[in-house]
Amino acid sequence: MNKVNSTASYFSITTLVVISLFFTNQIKADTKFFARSYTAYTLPAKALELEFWQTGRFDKSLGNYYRWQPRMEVEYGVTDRLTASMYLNFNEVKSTGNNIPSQPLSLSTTSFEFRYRLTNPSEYFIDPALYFELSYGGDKIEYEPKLLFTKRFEKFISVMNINSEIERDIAGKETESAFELTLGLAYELNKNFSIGLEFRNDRNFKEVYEKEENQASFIGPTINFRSDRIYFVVNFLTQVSGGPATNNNLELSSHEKYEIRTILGIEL
Amino acid sequence: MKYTLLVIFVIIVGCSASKNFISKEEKLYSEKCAGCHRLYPKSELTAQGWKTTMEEMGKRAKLNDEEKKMILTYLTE
Repeated sequence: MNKVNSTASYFSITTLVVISLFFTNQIKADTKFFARSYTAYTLPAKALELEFWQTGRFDKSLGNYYRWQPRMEVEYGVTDRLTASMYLNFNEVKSTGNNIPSQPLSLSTTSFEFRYRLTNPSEYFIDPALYFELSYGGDKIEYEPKLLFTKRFEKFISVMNINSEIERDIAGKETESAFELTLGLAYELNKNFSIGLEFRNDRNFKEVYEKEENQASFIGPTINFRSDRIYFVVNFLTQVSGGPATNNNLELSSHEKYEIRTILGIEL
Repeated sequence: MKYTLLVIFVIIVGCSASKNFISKEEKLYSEKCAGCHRLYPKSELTAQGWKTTMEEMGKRAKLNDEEKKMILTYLTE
C-alpha cells in the first residue's frame, strides 16, 4: 500500500466512522481505564465496539525521530466471557539527522485478538483473564499470549499484564521475542473521569528468549474520560531506565525516550 | 528471581481467595456490572433511582428482562 493511498484510506475511514457515530443516538460506550494495560474484563455478549488507537514514539537523542502507529479495531462480545477483536495496525517513521530510515504511513499488520475472562468480576480477590493475539503482515507473523490481572477496591482499579511476544520472519526464518510487564493504578474521580499511573517494562530477546538484547522501563500518567457514548484514554510515558544504556542510563537504540497513546472507544 | 516468585505467589493466593455471594442476584450483579464500573453500594440510590438506572444500564450490559429484574431486586431489597 503506498503512502498516499494508505494515509487517505486511514483518515477517510476514521473520519467517516467517528462523525457518523457522534450523530447516532444509539451509541453507548464501555470503560477502558488504561492505555497500556488491559483489565481482566470483557464486553457483554453481542456488544460491538470500535476503537481508534494512536501511538506516538519520539526522541532518540540523535537528530529528529518520530514513529506514529495508528490502529483501527472492531471488538465483539462473543459471550459474556469471550471478546474477539480484529484490527489493522499502521506505521509511519519520520527521521532526519540520524541513520534511522524514514517509512511512509502504511498498513503493517492485521491482528486477531481473543480475551477470555476466567472468573466473574470480584468473585475472587484478583480477577484473571487470558489473552491471545495473532498478527500477520508481509513476511512476518507474531504470536502474543498475555495474562491479565485486575483488582478493584472502592474507587481504585489496578491492573497487571504479563505479555510474551514471538515474531517470526517467514522469509528469513529469523525469530525475535519480547517480554513485557505492564502495571496500572487508576482512581475514579467521578462517573466521567479517572486519573492514573502506568508502568511498562519491555525486554527484547534474540530467538525465543535465548539472549536478552535490550530492555527499557517507562512510567507516566493516564487520564480517562467516559460518557454514555464514548470513552477516551490518553497516556504519556517517559523512559526512566534502560540497558544497555546509550544515553544517560536510557536505552534509545531500540526504544524511544517518550511514548504517547490515545484510545477513542465507541460502542455500537 | 525472588521478586518473580513473590509476584506469582501473590497472584495464586489472590486468585484462590473466593468471595461468597449471598445470593444468585448478588452474583449476577457482580458478573454483569463489575466489568465496566465499580459495584455501587445499594445505599447510593433510592429504589426509584435504581429502577431508572437499570433501564439505562440494562441496555448497555445487554441484560434480558429476567436479569434486570433479578439485579433490581438485589439492589432494592
